[in-house]
Amino acid sequence: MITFQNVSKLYKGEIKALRHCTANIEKGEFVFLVGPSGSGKSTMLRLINREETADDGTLYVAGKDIARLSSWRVPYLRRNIGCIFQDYKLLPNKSVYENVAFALEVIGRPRHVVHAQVPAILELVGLEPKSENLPDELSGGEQQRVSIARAFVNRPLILLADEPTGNLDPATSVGIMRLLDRINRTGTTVVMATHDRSIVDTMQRRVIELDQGEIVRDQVRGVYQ
Amino acid sequence: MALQLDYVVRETSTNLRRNVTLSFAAVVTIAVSLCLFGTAMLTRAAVGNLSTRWTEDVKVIVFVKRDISEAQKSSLQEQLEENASVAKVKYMGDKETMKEFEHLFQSNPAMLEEGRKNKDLVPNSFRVTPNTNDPDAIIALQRLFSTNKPGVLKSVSALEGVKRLQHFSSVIQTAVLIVGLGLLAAALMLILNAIRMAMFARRREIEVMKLVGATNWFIRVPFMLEGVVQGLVGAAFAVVGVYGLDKLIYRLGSDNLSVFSGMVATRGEVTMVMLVVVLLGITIGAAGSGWALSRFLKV
Repeated sequence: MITFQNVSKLYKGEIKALRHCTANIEKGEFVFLVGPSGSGKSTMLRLINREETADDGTLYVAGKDIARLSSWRVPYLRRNIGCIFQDYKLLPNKSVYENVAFALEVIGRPRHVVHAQVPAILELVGLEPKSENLPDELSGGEQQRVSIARAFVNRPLILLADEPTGNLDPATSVGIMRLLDRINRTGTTVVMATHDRSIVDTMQRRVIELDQGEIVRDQVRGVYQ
Repeated sequence: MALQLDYVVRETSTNLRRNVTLSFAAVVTIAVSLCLFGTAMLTRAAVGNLSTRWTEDVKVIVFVKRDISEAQKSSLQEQLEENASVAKVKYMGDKETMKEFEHLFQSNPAMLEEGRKNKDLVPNSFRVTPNTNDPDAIIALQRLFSTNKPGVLKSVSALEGVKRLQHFSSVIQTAVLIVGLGLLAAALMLILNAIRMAMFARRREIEVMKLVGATNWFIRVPFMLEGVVQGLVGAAFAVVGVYGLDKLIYRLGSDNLSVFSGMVATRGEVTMVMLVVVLLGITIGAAGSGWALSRFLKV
């Protein structure tokens, strides 16, 4: 599903964000990216989503060499990739329902599809009763659930999560992880960058550890360490 | 991909509403600049028509001196007849000249008396009908047969006034065009900034749209449309301005005793000016927003 072959990424031509990274992530895997701040976790996610392009090496996503993808095709790549973030990135002036529906509207889904899928996904994340609320009226955990709903409503092949529990307390984080686990069980590949030791240790999933842009560990059932 | 119409309309109108002061400034600037353009074009057309009217029966008149010799007279006649721009030459001798003089001044006995006493006031002349309507050629002809030819007292052409009016109007047109161009550039900047502000106000939406895979065109179209709508509304006001100006010119030009007689723009010319104004408005709107998009919206 995602294959890094000797991928390097430079910033301003000298600072090496990633150095010769090689890793292969299969369909349906759940992978943690761990490592200190600035080790290159976010860069890896941004490369997968083609917000950035690699300076060296090859990166395949869903069977395509994404460096060769022409820019007009990038949106179609992104429709196969859901993204969630530490700061949720919800639109404050839209309700929960509208936030999720927005993701379908802007990729041109017909109205009846929107009407059918949004309530279903809100039920999945457990927020159907709050669908008319604005994001400000929700707790942090609820807001993250909305952002997961938005990322997943289009049933992407891949879900990228950049420190999704970074702003949440441990109990709420567990709830979010259960949800991500559930999504993973539907066959969606999940790649999650995190600092949260207890989550990584409890989940017992594959761990890729980065340090100063290099992959220093790749364990099938790893812990945070 | 289907760009849903209701989505585009909703987004564009929201943008315009949110930015109402800047949109207003852009629209007014476009309206004024396009109005100036329309004025310049319309005046040009009208003045062009004015000189065409005059040229229809224009004549160059070469007055000759009282003491002109027969040889000089026939030489002049010959030269005129051989000139490439001349269709017909008619010599007005003592008799014809006096007859015309008496006819022209029949209501002015003092002038008549004066003319009969002093023949120098009523010179004989060649009446020249040119074979061309080109004002420059006619003026050249008139200049050729001026006092530098022996026996010539003075030569005049009905075109001189027209020429002066044309020159005056071309100076005005140039001035108006320069001001119009400056304002058009200002309008372009205003649209650029209006779109930039709209994009800034909606940067979160744009970020999410990119994230979930909205196509570039889907993101761009509402902003493009915002600029085009501003250009169109400005152009609409300018069209009203051009219409009013045309009515004003028509009032001046249809007065038979006025020097502006015949200075009207045809219906086709007015339509053409309006069309150009509208197209220019759309172009400016699209250019301004396109510029903003290429500078500030990296997709």
